[in-house]
Amino acid sequence: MEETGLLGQLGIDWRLFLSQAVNFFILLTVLTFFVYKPLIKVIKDRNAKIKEGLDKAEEADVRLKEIDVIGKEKIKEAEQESINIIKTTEQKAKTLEQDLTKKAEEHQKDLMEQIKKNAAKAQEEANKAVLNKAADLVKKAIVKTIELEPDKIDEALIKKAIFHIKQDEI
Amino acid sequence: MKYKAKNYAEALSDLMLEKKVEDKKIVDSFLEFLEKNRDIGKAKEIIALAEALFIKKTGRRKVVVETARRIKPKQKELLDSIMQKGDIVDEKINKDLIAGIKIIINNDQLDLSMQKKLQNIFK
Repeated sequence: MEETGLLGQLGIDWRLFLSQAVNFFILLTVLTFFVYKPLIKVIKDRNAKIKEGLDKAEEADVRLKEIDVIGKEKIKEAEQESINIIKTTEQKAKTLEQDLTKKAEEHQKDLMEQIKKNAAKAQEEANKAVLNKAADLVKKAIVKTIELEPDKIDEALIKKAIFHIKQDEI
Repeated sequence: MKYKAKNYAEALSDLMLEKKVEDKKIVDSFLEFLEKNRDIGKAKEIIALAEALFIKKTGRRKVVVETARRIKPKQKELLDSIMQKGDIVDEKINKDLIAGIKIIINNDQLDLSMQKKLQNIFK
């Protein structure tokens, strides 16, 4: 059967054309649903991930800069604190040194006083010993002298005793 | 102790006051009596108490004369001039006195010894 009309003149069989159009449409639909849309979704997801990565990188960069600033501040604070600690320590060391010097001086003074006292005491004891010795010697000398002629002394003291008794002193 | 020291002393002083027998006999009998009663250990204390009671009852004086050496006759004569009749005289020799005399009449003491003088000098 021969085709009539324009399509016929062009040599196109409209039935074949229609079937091919339907086939094409079906293929388009299938490709749209099973290839295009998933592919687009994959591309979109990837783009989103890339964007997220870039954003995070940017954020990390900002954070790094902030951390750098904070670190510098901390280092500055630490340096200041170190200086303060060193100053305080120096001050304390100075005070401690002064205290120790003062204590050492006081201790030395006390020791000197103790030595002086001990020396004075030793001198006093020596003097006392000499005096005691001298007293003993004098006593011995007196006793020896008395022993040479005891009767005279006895008599004199007895007379004196009798005088006191007669005077009613006992 | 069979009796108290004070009771023994009272008895002894009474016996001595009565003077019925010699003092020596009294003392010997009394010591025997103490021995019998097993109180001889307290004899010294009893005799001292009896002596004090005897002196108190008789009104006599107890004179203790301490010298460094035996008293010479001339010194004895001097001492006799202060003694009264009935004085109980106890003569003691104490070489520590060195020289001089220490006289105790009842409870009063007169120390004119060289020992005392030296003590006063080197006090």
